[in-house]
Amino acid sequence: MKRQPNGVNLDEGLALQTPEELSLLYVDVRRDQISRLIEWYNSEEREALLLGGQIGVGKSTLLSALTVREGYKPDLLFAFDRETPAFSPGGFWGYILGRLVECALRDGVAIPDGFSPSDCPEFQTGDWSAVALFLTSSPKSVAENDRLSVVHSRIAEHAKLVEMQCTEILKALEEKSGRLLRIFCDGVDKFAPGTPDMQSLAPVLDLLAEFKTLFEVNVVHLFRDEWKWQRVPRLYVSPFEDRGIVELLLKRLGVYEAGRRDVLPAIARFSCGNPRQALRLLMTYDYARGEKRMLKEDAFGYACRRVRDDYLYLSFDALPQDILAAVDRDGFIRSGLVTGVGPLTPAADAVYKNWLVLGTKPDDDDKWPARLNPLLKSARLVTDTLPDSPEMVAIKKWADRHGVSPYGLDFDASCKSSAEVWSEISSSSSSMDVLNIVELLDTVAAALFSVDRRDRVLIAYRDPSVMETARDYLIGKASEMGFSPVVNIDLGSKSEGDRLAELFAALTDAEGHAIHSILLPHAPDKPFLRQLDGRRDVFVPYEMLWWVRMEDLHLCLQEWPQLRQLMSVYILEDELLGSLKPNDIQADLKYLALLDKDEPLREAERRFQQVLNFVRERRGA
Amino acid sequence: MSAERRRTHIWHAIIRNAFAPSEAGTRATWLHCYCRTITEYVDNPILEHAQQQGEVFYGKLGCRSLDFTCEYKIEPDRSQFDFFLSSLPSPSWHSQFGIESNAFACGARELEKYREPPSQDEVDEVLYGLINHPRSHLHLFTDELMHEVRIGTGLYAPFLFLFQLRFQLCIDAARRQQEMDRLKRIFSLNWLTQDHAISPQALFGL
Repeated sequence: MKRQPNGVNLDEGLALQTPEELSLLYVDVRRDQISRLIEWYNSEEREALLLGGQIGVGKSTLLSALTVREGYKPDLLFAFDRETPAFSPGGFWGYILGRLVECALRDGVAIPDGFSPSDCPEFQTGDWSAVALFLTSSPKSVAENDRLSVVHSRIAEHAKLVEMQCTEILKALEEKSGRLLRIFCDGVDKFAPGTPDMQSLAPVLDLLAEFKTLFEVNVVHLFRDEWKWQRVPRLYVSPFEDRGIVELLLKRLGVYEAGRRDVLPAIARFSCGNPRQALRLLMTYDYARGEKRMLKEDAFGYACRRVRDDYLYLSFDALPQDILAAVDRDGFIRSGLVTGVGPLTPAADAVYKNWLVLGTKPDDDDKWPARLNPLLKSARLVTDTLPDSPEMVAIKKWADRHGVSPYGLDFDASCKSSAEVWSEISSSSSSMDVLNIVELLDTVAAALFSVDRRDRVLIAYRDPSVMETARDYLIGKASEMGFSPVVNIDLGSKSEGDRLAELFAALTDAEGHAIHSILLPHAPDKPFLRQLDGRRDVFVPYEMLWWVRMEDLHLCLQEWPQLRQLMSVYILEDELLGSLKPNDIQADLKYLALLDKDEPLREAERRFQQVLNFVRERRGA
Repeated sequence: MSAERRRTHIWHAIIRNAFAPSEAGTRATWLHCYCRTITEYVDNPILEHAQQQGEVFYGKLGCRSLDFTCEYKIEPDRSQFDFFLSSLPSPSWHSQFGIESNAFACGARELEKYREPPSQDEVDEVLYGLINHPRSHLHLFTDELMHEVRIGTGLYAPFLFLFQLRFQLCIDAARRQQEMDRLKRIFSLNWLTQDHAISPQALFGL
């Protein structure tokens, strides 16, 4: 992602990766953790390590700081979330085998007997290097996907053989290098414990745990020990302190910090030390102030509400009410509630989804300091615990004046029973913005038209024809600004097994000039949604508009605890004609008629013409 | 000939050749190029691409990080700008320019009469006065860095006004300097001698 040396660098909280990003935006407040990682790296002890923290707390950035900034690079890097062609036993074993074969070929290490290219005629080659590429890349076509599925099935049948082969290669690589290999596994945090995908991945991780491997995991993995790879030393990535968050936000605002300086302490408080939550709050506040021209306190309330709804997403039917209320009351959670075997316990689920925020690791590991995410709480309860900064005074005044919470939760938990509190949460309506087509454009314009940003916007719709018109309109506007080409991906028209392959095959433009418009199928199946969720970071380099039917929105948000972190969610109003008038579209077309047209402008003209035809037809009808 | 008169000539030559598109097609192209470069130059921009109704062009630009938006309307014989600041009632400022302000541009060939030819420094100074630091301007913010935002109030040519507004909405000193350097390369002494029109594509570096 392109970064401005002195300007504003807002995003949804993506991990910093490049030397440029780290030098501009990294906040060096985790020296202890970096030191511990360096100590582990330098040690010649064959010992794996779990690096765990909650979603958005900065694990990936910490790893970048270790590898890019401090220069401690892995000998082997596995990215199971981004690079595995399929989340299945055969997919994971095939991926690790492919990666190890690549390394063996690079280092001149003989590939031991075991699984061989000749075992699979689908490889269409006896060449190991072609096979390795095949096993470690996303399929580029449906036919390739079919062949890969057959290969994965065969690998799964011979999993033991492949496991031994991988172990042998790793040992041979170590022998060749004359030292222990430093292996990094990033992205393991995308696989929640107890899910089928994790069940498939765990044996592969167990193999790697026999070597010197660093696993990037969610904090809930730190509480478990059902697999060998989980029974290794642990390093917990705790939330930032408030001053660290303020420092981070100041860096993001660059020379423009003056206009936002006064709200940063409040954002730090309401982020509970989670950098991504802080960035999402700042971005939304920025939009509410700059674009919607809201007053400060209104803008802050708006930001809290929006971030709660699309980033945090409360699934009302699955709230562990008693646990959340108890944590809110006690300020800690007992480890035993988060620990478990199989699927996540309700408490662990609340931690995984960031409804509960864990504090610094306790000495006895029993009572973990924990808080209810402030965005889920009432204004009064939260603001009463804060020092009276001018911003807080304003928020309190606003809340008092309106008699409601600034985040849209009309309840006060301070003097009610837990049952009452959660009944009120459950009944509070979603504040997700329902926008007409023109408002939608205004809202997503900053993301859609920015040459520096690659955003993912999820738009829910009821009427397919309104969706199609909105899509034409947004793409027409983007093309007018020179963003091209547009890649339309209709996943509904593909068979279930081919959807993922089709999607990946269409993601070809990493330059960021293309806009990917992705139409999700009606009633998408959960395994497919979970695959998308686990592959969240694959989508980071792309500008994307995701379209989903209104009735499926709830399912998507529920199945996307990872992916929704990098998305903004809006609901498209059914009514079209009130906001989109033929005269306005004709004005666009007239304007375009005056210009010498390149391909983006021709695309814009085509799209606007389609919008005009639809609006006229509707009006006529 | 006095330095003042030379600078006046340069002033008008720049406006006439780069900021005074007269035909609807040229105006549309100018605004199109303008809009396309806003997102590259301005941080966190607010932008509504220009549209046309009859002979009127209108659109919107601003900067979220400055809480500032300008809505413009350019007609053949007048133009109108409305400014919105989040901290003030809307619109915060409204200004109009009429065609009569445009009536006193001096002729293209007048430069030949000057005994001492203008220097590049003089061209640069005029550019500085047009774009970077308009002599008559309005400050919107008091903070040290944001104080650098100077909205030119004496610029009658609507396209020049839009151009300097785009320049002012970026307060990154390095990017400003880069932009001024780019403009200096366009408005060179050589260009002044030839006195030819600058296309919108060239003006915006597209």
